[in-house]
Amino acid sequence: MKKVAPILLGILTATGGYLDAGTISTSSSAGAAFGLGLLWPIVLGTVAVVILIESAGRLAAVSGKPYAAAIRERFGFSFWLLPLSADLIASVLLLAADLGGVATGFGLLVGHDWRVLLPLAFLIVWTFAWRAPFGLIENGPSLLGLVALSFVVAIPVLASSSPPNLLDTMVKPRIGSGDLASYLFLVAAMLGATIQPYLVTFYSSGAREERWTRRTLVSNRVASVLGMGFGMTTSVGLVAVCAIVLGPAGIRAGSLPEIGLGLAAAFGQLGGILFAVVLIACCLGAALEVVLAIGYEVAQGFGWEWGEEKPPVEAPRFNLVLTLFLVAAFALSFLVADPLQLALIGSAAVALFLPLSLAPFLVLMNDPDYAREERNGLLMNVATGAILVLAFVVAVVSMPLLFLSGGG
Amino acid sequence: MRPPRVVLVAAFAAVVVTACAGATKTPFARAALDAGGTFAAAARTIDDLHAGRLTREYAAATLGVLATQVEAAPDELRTAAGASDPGSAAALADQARAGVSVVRSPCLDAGCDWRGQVAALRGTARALSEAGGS
Repeated sequence: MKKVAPILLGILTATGGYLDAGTISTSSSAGAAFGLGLLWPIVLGTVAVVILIESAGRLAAVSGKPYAAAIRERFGFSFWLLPLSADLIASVLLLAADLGGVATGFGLLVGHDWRVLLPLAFLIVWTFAWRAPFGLIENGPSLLGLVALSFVVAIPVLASSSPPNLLDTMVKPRIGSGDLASYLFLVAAMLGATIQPYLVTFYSSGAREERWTRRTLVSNRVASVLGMGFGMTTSVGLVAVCAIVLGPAGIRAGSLPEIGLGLAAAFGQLGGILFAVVLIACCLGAALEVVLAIGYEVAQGFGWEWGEEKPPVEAPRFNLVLTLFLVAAFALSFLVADPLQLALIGSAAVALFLPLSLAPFLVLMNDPDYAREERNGLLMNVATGAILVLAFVVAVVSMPLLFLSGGG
Repeated sequence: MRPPRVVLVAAFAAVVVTACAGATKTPFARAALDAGGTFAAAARTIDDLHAGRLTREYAAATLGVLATQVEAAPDELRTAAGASDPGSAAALADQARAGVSVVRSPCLDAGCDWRGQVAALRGTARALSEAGGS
């Protein structure tokens, strides 16, 4: 039972933590515009993120070094600045979107403008990041985020009102005249929203926070596969609900509150409340992961003290970095004032920088000084190489498609 | 001599952009579709509120967001490139302006004509969606 408990917890937290402002906005736009025609990027992105996260956990458990520290040590300071710069740009956009998502969730519960509640969202994220122990950050919002499974539960409830031939759109997406650029942009943004480099940094640093060893490798493997697999179902449920409810009504999921109309169609007033809780929990969890990942990445690169389990006085520069980063994201969220648009652009930015963030994997996972006897086999190398090729293609096309499609 | 990698990447991006350039909507069509989607969402929100499917808090917050989102639509429709006929674009912009007023002052209580608002918003949404080619 002692061995099963961490696996179960890992599955639960990954399930609840899968959704963030990026996946919510891209999946809902996809469902509303193209029915079930964009489920495949979710599946492809999930397979990629499972491989990357399992590798990051294995690297941290075997070498004792999280991903960012290993990059800094193996490739040198100058090279480390490249993925760091990329992650800073993409992450500040995503963090701003997640802060807006938390504030929007509160706004839907109390009936106020989300911008009024943005400082509250900032304060909650900062307080958690500043003082909460790692276990609470990892598990609290994610377990609450299990409410996102209500999207899956809503599918059979809404099935009778499903538009005819909806299932056919899974293999033959309805791409109307002038819609190809939007379709391709959403593919790139959905992959960017799923394959998040901050997840890798957070996961591998978390493995060090929890002092993983070689004995944790099996639970790492099981939790990453099953957890992300279950998490993927919430995203699929979101696409399906938007395809059934929003698309046929001509609603394009152009803002976060519109997405909750899908759950309201299934569960009435409870559906709206559930959606608000989903937004708060998922965006809070993601905001904490992003802000800590940046703190970890910077501190590990500069060789500073870091760790969420340490009191701030023992890791002052780590805590200062995450506070400054949070302030920057808060300012961006306040100025741009559209969380969904920020999430779409942030997901495209992640896609643009993916090769920079992920390329070191292939080297580190084959280096006996780091991965030791747990180095990648042929299959894992082919899979990681394929992810890099995919990341490269997505990076090249993401920004041109963003401008051509106007953001989906 | 092989071309530098950056040239190959730029060429690949250029091919993608060129291939997709003919597969995009005009700025006018995009503005019309976006505004149409927002008005459709506003109509649904008011309807769901009065049918008891949404709390008043949820509806009020949602309509506030939608009002911000759509407030620039009339001007965009008037000026965006790609409208087939400037006269009908101006008429659509006027219709959208009336829609914006409704979204800004929605009937959240049973005492006012919420059904009229829902019908007007649905009509505007339909007209804009058709103009956007959906």
